[in-house]
Amino acid sequence: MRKVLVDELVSRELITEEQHRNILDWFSKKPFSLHWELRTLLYTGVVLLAAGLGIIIYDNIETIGHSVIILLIAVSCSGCFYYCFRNKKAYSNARIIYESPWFDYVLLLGCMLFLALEGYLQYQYGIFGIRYGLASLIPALLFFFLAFYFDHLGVLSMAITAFCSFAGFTVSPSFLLGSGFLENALVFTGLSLAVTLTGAGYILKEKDIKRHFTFTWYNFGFNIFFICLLAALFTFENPVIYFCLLILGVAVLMRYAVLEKSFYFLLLSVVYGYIGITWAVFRMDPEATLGLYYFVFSCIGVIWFFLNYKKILKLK
Amino acid sequence: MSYNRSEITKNFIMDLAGKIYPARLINEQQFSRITEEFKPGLYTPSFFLRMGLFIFSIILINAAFGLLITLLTFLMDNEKTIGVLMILTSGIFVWLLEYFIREKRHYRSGIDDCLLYYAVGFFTAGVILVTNLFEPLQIAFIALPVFAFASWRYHDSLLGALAFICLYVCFFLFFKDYTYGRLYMPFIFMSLSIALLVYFDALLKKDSLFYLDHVLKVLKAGSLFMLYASLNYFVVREGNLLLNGFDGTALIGDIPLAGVFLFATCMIPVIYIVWGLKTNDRLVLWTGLIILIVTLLTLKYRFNSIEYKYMMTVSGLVLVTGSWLAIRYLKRHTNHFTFEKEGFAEAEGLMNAEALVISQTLGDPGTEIPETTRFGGGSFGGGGAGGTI
Repeated sequence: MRKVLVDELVSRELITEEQHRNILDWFSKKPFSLHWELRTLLYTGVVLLAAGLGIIIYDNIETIGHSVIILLIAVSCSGCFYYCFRNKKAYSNARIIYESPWFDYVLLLGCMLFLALEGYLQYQYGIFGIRYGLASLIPALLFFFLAFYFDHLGVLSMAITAFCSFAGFTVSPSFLLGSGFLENALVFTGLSLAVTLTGAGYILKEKDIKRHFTFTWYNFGFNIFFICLLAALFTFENPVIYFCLLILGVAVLMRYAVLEKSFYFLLLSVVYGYIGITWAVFRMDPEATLGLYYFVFSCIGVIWFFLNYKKILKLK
Repeated sequence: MSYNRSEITKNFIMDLAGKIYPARLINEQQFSRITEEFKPGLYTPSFFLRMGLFIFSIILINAAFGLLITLLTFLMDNEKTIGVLMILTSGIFVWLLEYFIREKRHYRSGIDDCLLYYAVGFFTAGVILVTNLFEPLQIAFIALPVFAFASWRYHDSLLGALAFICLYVCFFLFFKDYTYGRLYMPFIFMSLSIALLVYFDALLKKDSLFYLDHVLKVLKAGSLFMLYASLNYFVVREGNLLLNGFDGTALIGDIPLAGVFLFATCMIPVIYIVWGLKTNDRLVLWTGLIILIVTLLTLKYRFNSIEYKYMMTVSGLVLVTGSWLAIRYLKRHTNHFTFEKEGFAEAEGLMNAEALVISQTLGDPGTEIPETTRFGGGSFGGGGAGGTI
């Protein structure tokens, strides 16, 4: 806090001399918050402890035995979920706020332990055999339930990720950029997945169920949608169809961004749209200089749009 | 400075008002008068819009420069003309930058950031090409004043940090050519860091420089890190091998004064943490906490016999117990320190006041206020909540 700023308020007679003194006094006397520092230390400690113990157990697996470890994970996992159910609040379609700083993390830990447990069982005993779909459907369903029941956005993201992998679609940048992506079936799986996720988000929003989840649904949905369409555009025949779909998606997302006043989605729609249009322009194989002119004028256009979108989209 | 100072002051006063109103230090009427009088007039878009403007400005500038080059291909045959061309182009960037700042009232909008970086980059590269000075020391020597001046004039912390790095590079490259320089490098760096730390700390305490806060904080953190690094056992040992390793004077066994460096490695984080807590200085405190990790790794490097798994388990156990006890203690006793979040983050008053402040800033009342999104806090928002139109 700067004294000169408080002085400015006095000199303009916006506050009294006494308030001036009180404000300076308040700033100098108010207790120093160690909230985030201690929390960070605590979580760093938990991570270090868990990792350290994990390695020690791994090194001594011969003497401990798999069943003991599985039991250990299962007990910790149940412990986490037990804690959550003990301290839960009544379900509501609106946002539920937990005062305890631990609750969210215990739930998250429980979910991760569940994944570890499932992975361990599959690796060691192959309980799912080759039905990998089932292996990702179970956590997806469980996490969807937990996310809604305890109102946790992190768990919702985990649930959506598990659901995507159930659909045979890995949502990771390396996979999306890798060669495995560009197969017909995968693109169409991705597109249907995107429509499902966005649709689910839309229906839940309309029904007023967990409206604050909408962002997460749409974020996954639209990103998968655009990436699939761009992949289709670049590689498949009949790109006109995909180009039209892309522009349609951009228009929908832009409209949503304006309605929800979300800069993030506005940026997303412009960037994906720009990539699509640029690809279309360069498919016509323009001269190099002409290409440079395209970039200059299109970028001026986009910047002008960003600076004046309120006027352009006729917002207040 | 280039930005309109009274306009920037408004931003800071609005920030202050957002803190003192929920604490009931001013009444509602005063608060609304302040928001009325200090309504910010600068254009500072939200994070995502700023990013968008930044990215598209980069593409635009590159394409425009590409066009310029295709038009002037006949000039591209020697480095000097290219250098002159770059300096002239940087002049255009500066003119545009000043235009956006003065006429369009941009303040960290993404466009001004981009123009600034291009202007500085082109100017430095142009001077290097024209003067034909390609030695690392010469490059650092040219870049240092340019970066420092630009950082001061346009309040840019990135350029400030780059100037800071240039200064250290200059010192290093200059002294490494002398035997005494190689021998006393840790102490040269230590003296430099202490001098800079004292200087930046004094500047930070200067009330009139409040608008440079974010730059000075980066520089102070840099000085704290460099002070630690200059005395860190690992850095000194490896640096010593690097400097003296090839001319046969490499030391066999341990470095001289190893005990002193090890002691400093262990003590500096502790000193920073205590200092940060004593003076309520979050910057120093966090620096101390971060370098504590480096100290642990250095100890592992020195005493190789400790295995990672035991180190992790033990330090994890210490951290968990320590922070858990501290939280328990602070929840019962709040005198100098508290476990409550800063200010009245949870209080309803602040949310409303913050809403008012932000809506005033953006000129659009009634928008939803993004909560701080931290992982696990139930509101794992990613990005979308951040920034409303």
